[in-house]
Amino acid sequence: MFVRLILIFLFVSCSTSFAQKDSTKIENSDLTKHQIGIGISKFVNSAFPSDKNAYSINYRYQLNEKISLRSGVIYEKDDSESGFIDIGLKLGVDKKLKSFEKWYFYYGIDLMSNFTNYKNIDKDQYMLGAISFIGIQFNISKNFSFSVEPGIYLRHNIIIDNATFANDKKTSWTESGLGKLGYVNLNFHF
Amino acid sequence: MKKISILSLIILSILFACSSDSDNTPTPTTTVTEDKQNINNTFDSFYSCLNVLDDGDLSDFLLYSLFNNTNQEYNDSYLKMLSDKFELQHGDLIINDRFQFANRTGIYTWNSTTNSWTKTASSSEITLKFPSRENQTTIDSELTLQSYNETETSFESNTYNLPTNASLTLKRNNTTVFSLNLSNVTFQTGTNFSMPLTATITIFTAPFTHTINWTRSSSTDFKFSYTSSTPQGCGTNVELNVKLYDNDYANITSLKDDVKAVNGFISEGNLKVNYAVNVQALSAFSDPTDAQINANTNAEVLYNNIKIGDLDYRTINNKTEIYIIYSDGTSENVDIYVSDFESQVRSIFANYIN
Repeated sequence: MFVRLILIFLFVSCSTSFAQKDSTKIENSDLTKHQIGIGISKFVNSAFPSDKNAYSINYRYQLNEKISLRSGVIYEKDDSESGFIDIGLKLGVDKKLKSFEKWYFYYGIDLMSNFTNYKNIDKDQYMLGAISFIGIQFNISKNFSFSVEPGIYLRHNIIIDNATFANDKKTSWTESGLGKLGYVNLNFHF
Repeated sequence: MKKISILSLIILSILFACSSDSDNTPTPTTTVTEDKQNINNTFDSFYSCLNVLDDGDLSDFLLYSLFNNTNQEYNDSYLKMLSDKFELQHGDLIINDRFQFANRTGIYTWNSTTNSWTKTASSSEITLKFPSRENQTTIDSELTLQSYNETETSFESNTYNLPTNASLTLKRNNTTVFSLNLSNVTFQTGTNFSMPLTATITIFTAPFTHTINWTRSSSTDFKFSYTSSTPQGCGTNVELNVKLYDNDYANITSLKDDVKAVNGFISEGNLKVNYAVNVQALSAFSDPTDAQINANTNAEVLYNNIKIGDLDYRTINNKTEIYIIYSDGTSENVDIYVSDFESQVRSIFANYIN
């Protein structure tokens, strides 16, 4: 883990150094229209927490100077004896709030969906939800940025137990709270 | 906006298409009354097996050697004295974290008159012959280490010598009361964390034979299994499969951060409980509710490999309870089967537990 942290530190340092040569002020409008984001917890699991509202890979498209469309996907399948399937997709939109030199502030909403089934548990788990968030993005260079998107989420979970003796095979509940508080995204702009 | 709506519809269709739409609930072949009786019979049989252990030759040896006083309290001072005398006369058994098997081979016999060990040559094993209890002159016990090999392992900045195979037998009156056979022990090499990859341990505690196996199925999948049996028909099996996120073993810090899922079974006689836990999903909750725990775990009760019940996690009056749901949908607290477990065990092993 220490090596990974060093690599990330070097990466950020180099990116910042290159950015210094280009300009000390990078407005969001300077960035290109497409953005791919990956959670840093995927690289350094124990140093940066993951979040149940996070998606493995995120895509953001800048529709115009203020509005961006967003999506995210989760896909993981394991055919082994103790395997599982986990797929999910989110769609959303965000709008510029304010920008200040390398900082870009925005707000928006994501609609989330997810399906999971672990072979050994054999319970179909569906989740439909939404998260309303405030985004804070720090543009390291024209092509790289970090962002955090803390927000309030609402998730409705439906569990269907395919093999239970219980009379009611369906369980559902709704949960809400503050989410993605420490979740950091590393973004690539192109 | 229209595009987003169409996309949302597609997503939902995909999600529901992935679901298992069939009802997999098995059809039981026994009545709930029979199932309850079978569970009770299994617990009775389990307690009988514990009695077999308590009445076995190993138990006789332990009580004879280590509980040899009027109060029947544990006292290992005699065996410690034998061990201390051995090292004083013939040298330490462990020097610089290495077991001195090759340097200590021989047949050693305890002389109660001189209070010392006499040695006769043997190049293949270490054998100690001694009286089982203090103030006894008859030599009736024999402890033999037939083989021993070890390898150097690394765990972060420390190195340890751990055994890769060993064979140890304890006999009393020429009857084996205990044996331990360690074989096929391998570790991952070339890293600063020598992850155990395989191990087979067979332990005989007369009359029980226990076998423990540890194997790595893939770089992220490990299996632990335990079986115990007796000629009288007792049989217990435990299996635990662990799936890790990755094979970065040196950075394993906690169950929550490094284990993705576990599953396995526990069986006693014909009764079996299959279990599975989605650790990854549960880790996302700081204080999971009953529904969240039940959604991400599964425990089924089987008899003769036919499902007879589901186990359900419930919190009642701030107390964790496990309920069994029978094939007719009725449920009851598993306490009705296990509430007397501690008192039964205490009663069986009363000679050891004061």
